[in-house]
Amino acid sequence: MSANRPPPPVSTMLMRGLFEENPIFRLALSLCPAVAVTTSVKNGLMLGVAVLIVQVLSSMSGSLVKHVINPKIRIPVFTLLIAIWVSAMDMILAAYFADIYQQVGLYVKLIVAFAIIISRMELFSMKHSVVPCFWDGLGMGLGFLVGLVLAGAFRELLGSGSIFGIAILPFKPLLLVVLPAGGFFTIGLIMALFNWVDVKRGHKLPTGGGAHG
Amino acid sequence: MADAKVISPHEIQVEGALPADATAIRLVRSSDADIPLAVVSVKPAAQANSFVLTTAETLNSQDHFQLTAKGVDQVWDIAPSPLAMVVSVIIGSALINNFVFTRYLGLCVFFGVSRNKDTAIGMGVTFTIVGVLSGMIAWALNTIALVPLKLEFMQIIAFIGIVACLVQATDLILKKVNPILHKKFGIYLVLITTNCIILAVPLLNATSGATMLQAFGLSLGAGLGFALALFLMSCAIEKVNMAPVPPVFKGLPIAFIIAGLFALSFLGFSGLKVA
Amino acid sequence: MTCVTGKVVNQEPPNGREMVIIAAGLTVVCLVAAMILGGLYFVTQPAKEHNLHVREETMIRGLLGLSPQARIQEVRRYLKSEGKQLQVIYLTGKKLAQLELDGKEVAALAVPEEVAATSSAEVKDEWVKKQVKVANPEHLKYAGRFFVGMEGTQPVGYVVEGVTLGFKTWVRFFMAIDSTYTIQGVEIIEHEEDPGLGAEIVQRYFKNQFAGRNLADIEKISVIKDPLPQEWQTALEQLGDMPFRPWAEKYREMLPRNPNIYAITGSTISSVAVTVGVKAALGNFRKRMTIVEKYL
Repeated sequence: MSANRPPPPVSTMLMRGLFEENPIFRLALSLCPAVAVTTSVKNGLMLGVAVLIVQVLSSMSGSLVKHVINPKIRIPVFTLLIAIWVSAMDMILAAYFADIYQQVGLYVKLIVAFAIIISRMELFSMKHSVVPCFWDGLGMGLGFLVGLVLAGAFRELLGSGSIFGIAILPFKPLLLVVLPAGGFFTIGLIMALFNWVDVKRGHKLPTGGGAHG
Repeated sequence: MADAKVISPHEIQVEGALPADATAIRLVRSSDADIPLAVVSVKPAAQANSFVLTTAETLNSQDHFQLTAKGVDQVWDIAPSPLAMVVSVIIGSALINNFVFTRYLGLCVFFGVSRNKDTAIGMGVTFTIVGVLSGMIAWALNTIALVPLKLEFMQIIAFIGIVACLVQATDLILKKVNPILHKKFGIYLVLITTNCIILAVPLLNATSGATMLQAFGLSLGAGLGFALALFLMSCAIEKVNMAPVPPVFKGLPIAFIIAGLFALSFLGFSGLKVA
Repeated sequence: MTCVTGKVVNQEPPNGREMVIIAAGLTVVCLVAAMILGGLYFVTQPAKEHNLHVREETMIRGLLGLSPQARIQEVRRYLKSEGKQLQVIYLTGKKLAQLELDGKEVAALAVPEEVAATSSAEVKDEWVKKQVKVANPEHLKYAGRFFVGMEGTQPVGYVVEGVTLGFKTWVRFFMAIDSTYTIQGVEIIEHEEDPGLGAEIVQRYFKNQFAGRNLADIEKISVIKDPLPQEWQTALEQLGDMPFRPWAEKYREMLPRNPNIYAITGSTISSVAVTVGVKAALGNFRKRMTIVEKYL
């Protein structure tokens, strides 16, 4: 099948996921949870960790099986692999972290439909061996996690006056931010922020605007 | 079985013969059938052969009740009518809990496809049809096989399998039966598989133990709500693309802000209750 | 994302033989997946049930202020709807009592040790189904439960599990009562209300408003939209840090001055839902207790 390409350095893979190819704010993939789950830092953190684990495991297992499967059924097999990891993650979370699971349960199950994981497997796992896949998965997962926590912190602080459940402000500044509409605004603003940082660093914004779906 | 329904938080209208003595009447909530609710009075209603019962406790029109009376053979089952329930589920999932603006699902595809009105309508229609089909098949599989065999942990795999197969099958059938239609809608079909909503609907039906009618209502409402959201977004985006947007906001950021504004307006539906 | 789907669309459809191989391959992967997940389910499901049970017990102990030696006993209620007459069945730690609606005993069986001691609802329900013969399994249904906190052989308090319809969907709660039918506390277990609005029902300043009210109070109680007085709020925040009896003693005068439930700002419906639920749960529990107490 496809030969393994030499992988980029580890630090690049990690940093890429965090900024240049941040899944949420730049690649605009798997947005559903970004808006839904970021009502608090705790929720965002929990889902972020879940996605990180699934991403790493999926990337690695995708790389392991790529020689064994018929390329025509590649996508269904990847989907199955992801479904296995997600179901496993779902069961473990439901058993050992039940209170947070109650809030993010549905979104954990939906990880299987995340475009980021399957597209990463297609783009990266197919061409690299297991260890670089681990780092790439980690980078992407970390970018996702940081994105969720960032948005979560913003919304929780402004909406409920707390961070991670610890009250920081004695009042709730702007309850709107915790509601669905606020989630959309937050992501839009943070995306614009990422674009602005890009401009400041001297990169030209692609025509038609920044992050594209 | 004669009709009886909850007409206000303390009144039930009953069709049929009832004794005038309130103590001879037994009204219970089906789930608390061992505790009778206090019936304060029985009065003839405006319609012929109907009575109005007044109760001390607050009645919830979504609840199931049972009514019996001493000396009367008849048993009244009081429950929201199936049609009213389906309509309320559809409106609920299309407007009140719109999958895009309130539950934030299906966003990935949403922002990609809402560029112009035609693609929006195309995607909306395709999605509704596939969504209803996959929702019903998934419900059937869950009810007939997964739950009785205690295989609930296979739900994720089973549901995504159903969606993938359905999309593939629809693609093949459409190509053979109506190539023109396939050319128009084919591309949307493939995008459906990564749409969170199509997986969320069977999962929600499964966790809430929905009946077949409820599952149908949720799938249809989800599809309609998604189509509505797409259409509204596309109208707005078409206009925005011609407006002077600051460069850092061009593209997705401004789309998110607009989506936020729509979400705000959909919040207005949140008190909506279908009787 | 579009590049992924583009690759799928451009592939040629497989021919007959390839389809068979592909189908076979997918089936094998599915079976492997099913086995892995089944195994994992086997491992995690008992852990899930155990953790759930531990959480419930901690909540009940906290609500009732039980000593570490106290036992908690679950009493499950079933409804048998076969034949003309409805029957209520209670499974306590000692007896399985089959009763007519007015309390007349139809049958009473002793409960074996393992069934009484297990924390699994399934085991208990299965045993009950075996003992009570019904022609149609649909006619015997689980209807609810409550818990008894026992110090030695004396019941010191009860925790009733109640369900009410909230703004979005069902809200489940635990309500702790002492033997005089005074509420000691309320804990919301499950809800899907909006964060910052309906979800505030889990906060102390709302749910603790029910504490200290007796049956007569609750029967007349209503929800008002006035703002929550600051000193009452400070008092409400303290129940949980201190157990019920000292709290009720300390704020004895404040209770009659705040006879109604102050609704959560912006969530009248959720507030009313919990109040209605508490009223129904307390009233129903008292009516049932007169029948079931001799079987505890």
